[in-house]
Amino acid sequence: MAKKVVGQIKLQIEAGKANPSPPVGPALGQHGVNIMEFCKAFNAKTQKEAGMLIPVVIEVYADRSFSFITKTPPASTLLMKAAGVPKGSGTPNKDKVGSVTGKQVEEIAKLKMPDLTAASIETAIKSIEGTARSMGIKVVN
Amino acid sequence: MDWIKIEATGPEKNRDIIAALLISSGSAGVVEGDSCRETSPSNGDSLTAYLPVTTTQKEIQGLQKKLKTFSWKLSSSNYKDIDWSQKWRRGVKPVRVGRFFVRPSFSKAQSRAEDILIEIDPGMAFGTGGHETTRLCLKALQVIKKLKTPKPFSLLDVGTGSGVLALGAFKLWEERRKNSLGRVIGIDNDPVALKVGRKNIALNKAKVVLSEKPLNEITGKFSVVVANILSSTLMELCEDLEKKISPDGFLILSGILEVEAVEVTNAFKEIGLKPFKQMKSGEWVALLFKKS
Repeated sequence: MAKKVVGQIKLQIEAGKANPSPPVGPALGQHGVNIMEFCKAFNAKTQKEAGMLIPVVIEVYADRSFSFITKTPPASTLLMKAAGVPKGSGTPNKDKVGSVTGKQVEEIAKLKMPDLTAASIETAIKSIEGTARSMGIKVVN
Repeated sequence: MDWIKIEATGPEKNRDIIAALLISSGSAGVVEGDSCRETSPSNGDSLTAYLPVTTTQKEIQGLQKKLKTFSWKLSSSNYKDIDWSQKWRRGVKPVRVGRFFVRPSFSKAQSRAEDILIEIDPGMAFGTGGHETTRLCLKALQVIKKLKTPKPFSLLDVGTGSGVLALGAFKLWEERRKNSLGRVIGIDNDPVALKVGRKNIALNKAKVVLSEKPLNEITGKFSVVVANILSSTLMELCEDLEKKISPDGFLILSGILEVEAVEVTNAFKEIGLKPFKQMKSGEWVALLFKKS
């Protein structure tokens, strides 16, 4: 049907764990979106990616119906998982929290390609390496 | 429950790292951009997070220090939570279009004896009655109801979404002609919409069939074909739509901006359909055609 987008909401939430509490409730509630409907659909769609942070873009239409698309997890989340660390370093120049291999970086770059603006896999790898450095995660070969 | 609302701003390139830091500090997620902010940052990017009220000032200062490493700033304020799972419902109002009274199932709004009640819960399918294009189609169905249509009455709703138009047609023609009511079918290429549509059909106890089949695989002809999509798609489907209309049947087209009306009208005139009526609401028009 004719869909006129009146609002776009971008969230990052853990796979399978959307609920009406903040940040989901206030973000969607202000747009009059059926929150439980979104939570059920999001949790069903992402249940197999438990533990991952999932970026989601929700489009709200003029009649308060909505649709959403999920994206690949942020590079930071994938790097923490690959390095086996719970979080990045608050002082990445001084303190390193872990390391990943070049192969792991390449795998992350391939996974992220659909959501990156990188023209080639080499550029995507450089971008992921940059994120790793910013988080205090070393890339070792 | 109360929360501590954190609004962080800084350069876009470090956004995902900041999001991870905010989440590892206790937020169940983050909102990117301005969806939850009172004001937009003058430049760069922004994130909003909600930390448990038990988070100490010292912990917030520690977070602030970490964010500063990435050239991000934060401000914090108390946030009193609202039960949004209930509150959003208050904004959903019933819609009256002629005799149709469209309301969500949780609404207590009373319908009148002469109303045709359609219950639709807003969700992941377009067509809650809240948009002009849907309302125009519901009006058009009532216009056609007063005219002679091929019997038994049948209807094909192309791009059915929530199923609201198929439901409306079923209920409108069911009133007096239970025995002469033929097929009422809604098609959509979106499986999510079909799921929502089937739920609405069950809610309204209607005999409407929904299908994922493309238009050219639907067999037979219909007294009325209705399509509320977008003008570009309507033009693409032009010939397939015409083939599905019975002789003396009607076509309702909606989802057309006023500026596109002439172009769409001409495209359907060219394949032999007779323009019958044009209806307008805001910037949208619906076009009615008759097949001779």
